[in-house]
Amino acid sequence: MTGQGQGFSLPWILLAAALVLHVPPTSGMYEDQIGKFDWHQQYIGAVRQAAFDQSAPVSKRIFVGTESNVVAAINSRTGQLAWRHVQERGDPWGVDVVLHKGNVLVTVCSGGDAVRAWDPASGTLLWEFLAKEKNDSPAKALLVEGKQDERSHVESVAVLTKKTLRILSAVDGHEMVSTEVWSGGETGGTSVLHQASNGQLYSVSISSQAAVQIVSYTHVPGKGYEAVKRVIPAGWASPQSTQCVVTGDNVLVCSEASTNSLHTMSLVDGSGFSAVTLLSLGFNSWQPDSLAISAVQVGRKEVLLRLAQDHYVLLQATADTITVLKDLPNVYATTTARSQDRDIMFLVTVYTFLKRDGSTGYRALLQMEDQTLLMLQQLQGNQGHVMWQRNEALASISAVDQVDLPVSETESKFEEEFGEESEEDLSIWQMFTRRITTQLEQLKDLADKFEEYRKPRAKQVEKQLERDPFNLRKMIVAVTSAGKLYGLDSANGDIVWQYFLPNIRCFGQGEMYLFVQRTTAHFPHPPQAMLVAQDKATGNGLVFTFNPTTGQPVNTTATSGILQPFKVLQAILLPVMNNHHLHPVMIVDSDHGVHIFPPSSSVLSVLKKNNGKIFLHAADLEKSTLTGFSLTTLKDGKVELAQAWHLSLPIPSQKIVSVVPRRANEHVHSQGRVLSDRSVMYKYLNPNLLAVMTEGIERDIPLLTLYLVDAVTGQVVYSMQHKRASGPVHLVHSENWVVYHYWNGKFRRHEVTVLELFESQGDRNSTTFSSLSTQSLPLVLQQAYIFPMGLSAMAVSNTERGITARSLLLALPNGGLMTLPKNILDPRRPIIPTKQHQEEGVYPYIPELHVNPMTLLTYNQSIEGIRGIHIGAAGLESTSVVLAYGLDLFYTRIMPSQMFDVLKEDFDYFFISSILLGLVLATLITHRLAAMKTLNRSWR
Amino acid sequence: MEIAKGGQSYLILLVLMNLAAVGRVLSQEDVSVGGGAVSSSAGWEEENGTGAAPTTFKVEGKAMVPGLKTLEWIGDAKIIVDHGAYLGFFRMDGSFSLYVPSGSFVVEVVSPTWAFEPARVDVTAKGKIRARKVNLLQIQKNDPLPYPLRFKSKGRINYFERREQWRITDFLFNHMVIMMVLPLVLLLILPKMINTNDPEMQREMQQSMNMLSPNKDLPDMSEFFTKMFGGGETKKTTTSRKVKRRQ
Repeated sequence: MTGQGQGFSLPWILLAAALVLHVPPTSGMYEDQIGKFDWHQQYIGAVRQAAFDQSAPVSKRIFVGTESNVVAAINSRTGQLAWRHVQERGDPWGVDVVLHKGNVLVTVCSGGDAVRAWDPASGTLLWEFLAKEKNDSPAKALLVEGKQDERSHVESVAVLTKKTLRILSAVDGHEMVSTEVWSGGETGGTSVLHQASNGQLYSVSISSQAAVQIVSYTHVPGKGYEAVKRVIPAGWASPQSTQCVVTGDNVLVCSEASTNSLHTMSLVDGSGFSAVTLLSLGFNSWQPDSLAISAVQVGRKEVLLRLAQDHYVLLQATADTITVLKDLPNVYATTTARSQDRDIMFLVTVYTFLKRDGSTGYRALLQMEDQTLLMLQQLQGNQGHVMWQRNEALASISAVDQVDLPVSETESKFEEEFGEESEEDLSIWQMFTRRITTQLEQLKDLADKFEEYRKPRAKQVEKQLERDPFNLRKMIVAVTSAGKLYGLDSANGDIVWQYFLPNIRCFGQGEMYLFVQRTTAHFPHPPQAMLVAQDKATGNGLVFTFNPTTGQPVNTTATSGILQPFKVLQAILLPVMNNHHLHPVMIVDSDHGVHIFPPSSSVLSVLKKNNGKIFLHAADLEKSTLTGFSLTTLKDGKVELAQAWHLSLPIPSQKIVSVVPRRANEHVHSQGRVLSDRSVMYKYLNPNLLAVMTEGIERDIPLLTLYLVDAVTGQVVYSMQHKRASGPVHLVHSENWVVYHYWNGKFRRHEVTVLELFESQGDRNSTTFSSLSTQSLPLVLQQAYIFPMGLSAMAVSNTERGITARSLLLALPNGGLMTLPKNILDPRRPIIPTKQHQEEGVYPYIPELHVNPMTLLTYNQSIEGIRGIHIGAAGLESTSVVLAYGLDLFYTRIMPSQMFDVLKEDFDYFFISSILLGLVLATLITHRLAAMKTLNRSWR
Repeated sequence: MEIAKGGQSYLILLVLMNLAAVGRVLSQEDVSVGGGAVSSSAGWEEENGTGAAPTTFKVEGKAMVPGLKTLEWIGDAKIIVDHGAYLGFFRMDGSFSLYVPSGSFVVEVVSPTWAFEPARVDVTAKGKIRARKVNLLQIQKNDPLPYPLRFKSKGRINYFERREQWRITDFLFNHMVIMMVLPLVLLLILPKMINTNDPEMQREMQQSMNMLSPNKDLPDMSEFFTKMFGGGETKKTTTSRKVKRRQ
């Protein structure tokens, strides 16, 4: 063992050494711990296409295709997922079409490149057709029906992409016909597929050369399909603004936004369009950009025209006339359903549902703007009720944080007394009375607790969430790209509060800034968080401050955020506090102007005090330059940025892919490593160090370069290159080490490299670190390991005091979340181990790392599409709380150094107490026996 | 409604209807095209057909779990190529096909319950495909596997550690317990086992005791001290007492 080490952290080094030497590095869980402190929520993302199940007589399922490219079946009674398939990601719109009829369920995605048929009951793949066209717009698709024995059945699937029309067999997916839509360099868009009542298939496309191209496909038995092409001149048509639909009696109706007119023609034999302007139909107000036309129902003669976002018109179209059937103002979406004798049209407005026939039961699936999926069922009368709802916005979290819950009422009173320096000086007598009253109240609370314990309260009052003794329960604040804010209870994932900001969106890189300006630790002040996002309409910045534990806006007059008159370049939480314990947020606008929130005088005075001590850095990803700024307060109270340094990275062809600083306020408990000869290697703990990763191709060789840059001086502390290596790079930076994961193209494998920085020999100031006074470069140790898998995210554990050993969290492509103790990724692992290494507790170097299923926190659950991992510190030093988010949400706790500060849950209280009791009994009995024996001997 | 908390108007984007217990039959009364399987026409393909871009090749295979029907395990299983670069789904019979460009790929079966060995698939520019074992250390090593790929499960994945159960044997065979209990047993039980009344045994014991007791010829340390500090008479009494007790 390390014996009498000279380190001040001796007990922990001893503990770590003991752990390393005696405990194998697994932290697996036990089977009975399933669900004890972890939960998993499955999502599908915003629904794009949906169809009610028709394969079984009693409809129970809804098949949906979503923007996250998920195909799923939802139980229509409970809202739970019956099955789900996450398809390959790629395009921004997700699933193009979901086609369902009878026993056929076909989905088209990736712009028509992937057509898959699924078994509706089990979700098993029946067949698939894959192409590589890489279209940039969704495809159209149609189930082509044929008639056999007087019953119509699905014969084939027609898929119309931007370039090609394919007809695939509905039985096995083989390609029966593949024909290019455009001949000879022509391009176009806006295509419609239609099967006429005589079985003929038509495709209508609008050419960019002011013409409409109609191709009819006739099935010739024994020969396949025959195509006849007609090109009809249409000077008004443009692929961008024209929308077309075909009615049940084969009339092609097109709406043209630029001329605000409708054009009709017979699809079968028409040779020219007849035009009707919107004005002549009697409308005088419409929004040209939301003009859209859609068929009421397959086979019906009516069409619906959307004039504005909340205005629809029902039209009837023939080959040369258009008549208005009904004007539908204040309607946001419409759909129709078919009953036995007639069609019923349902209009969904904001507040009510209008319907013509009340006698038929119906259910409606609604996708709201905040991506909530609602299932409505009609009750008696005109009322509907929500059967279930799914918060699909949680599948697209763009910023997340875990906030401590507020302390309980009793503790808060205690805080009130001692926590805050009171403004007025209290006399001794006042303080005494206050103390007595608080204690009396505490006594009363205790009595209440006993009362509650004796007879549990009949009425279930939802108590406000309180912090638990170990601060393990948190409030997860999630901001989604749909503009919906959620507060989730980390104990079970239930939604505590939700708030919708309809006019925000993410910044260019898909991020929003969420800052906790004040935690719950400063009791009389409520906690406060700030969201900085982009306004949908103007693209300017939008700031929304709210209470993260309740979701209520701080500023009650600005319930949807405060729009700023500038575009946001960057937003930062400043590391200073004003006298109300509020961290100000600084927003840098696109002209490098500085805006401080809140702009109060107390904040400005704090900034003035720290004049020139706050440094920022900005990275230009395209030009691969880094610029450092210092925050200076001018005499007139204005704050501005002064450039401190500028660094252009040496290889201009490389792009910066990530800039990772150390976590702010990271606690590092041990300052060094004790070697076997009792000397200490001191860690290079530079809080201003940035790890900058660049990626690019240099002379046809992919290259990764890592720079370690001091953010205050701009000095490059270290740099290294990986030739023939490429991304995606996942990088974590903590304490004195950097770990990153990349693809090694030379050996066709993923590798993990660890860099560890130590102080070079010599004097150093151990109490404070200043980037400006250090000249000596650190000693860098590095090692690379083979990792058998790619990763989708990587993070490092974080505890309250930094005593616990760190552990890496890796999101694996198979949906697992793996823990990897940092001491396995140790650059000091020797190839030839000596006794010294053994004494120190360093494992010998083995190049390959393995994925041990016992280190998977997710056990047999698959967490789909993890994009990020958020780690919070619990009140217990041994424990961190982990939230993995992406398409799914997964929450659990990790104990990287086992539970050293609390008894394990399987601690055998019975055994220990029975042994103690037994010992006490044995002592008493033997004492008695001994007394008797001596007595007997004396009598002898 | 709960979601009205935001206080803003909610735009509804997608609405679907379903009528309970109403069959949906399309009202296409006169479908004239005759039935029969649609045959593919070769002429079409030659004239216009491009099909899939020629750079992708089809990789096929099949996976099985011994002793289990396919439908019992494929529900949550899928195929991933190069850790998620391409995806494949299983068909009803456990077979799958993937479309990949030429190159070298790691194909693995991902199942939360069953463990499978991954395979490396090399596709040449001409579309020749071979499969071999994944060896990350020696990338060129050729350990051929059959193609089309055959994945056979190695067994269930064990995610959990076995909880240690308290068993009496564990307790008894603990070295600390043995160290404590064994001398106790020797001390208590052995004297009982030996019949002390047997004169033969008594003599034997006497002998062994004599052997054990310090040699009378050597001066005992305590005696040496008593001789030095005390009188000469004490020696006799002590030895006589000793002898007395032994008998």
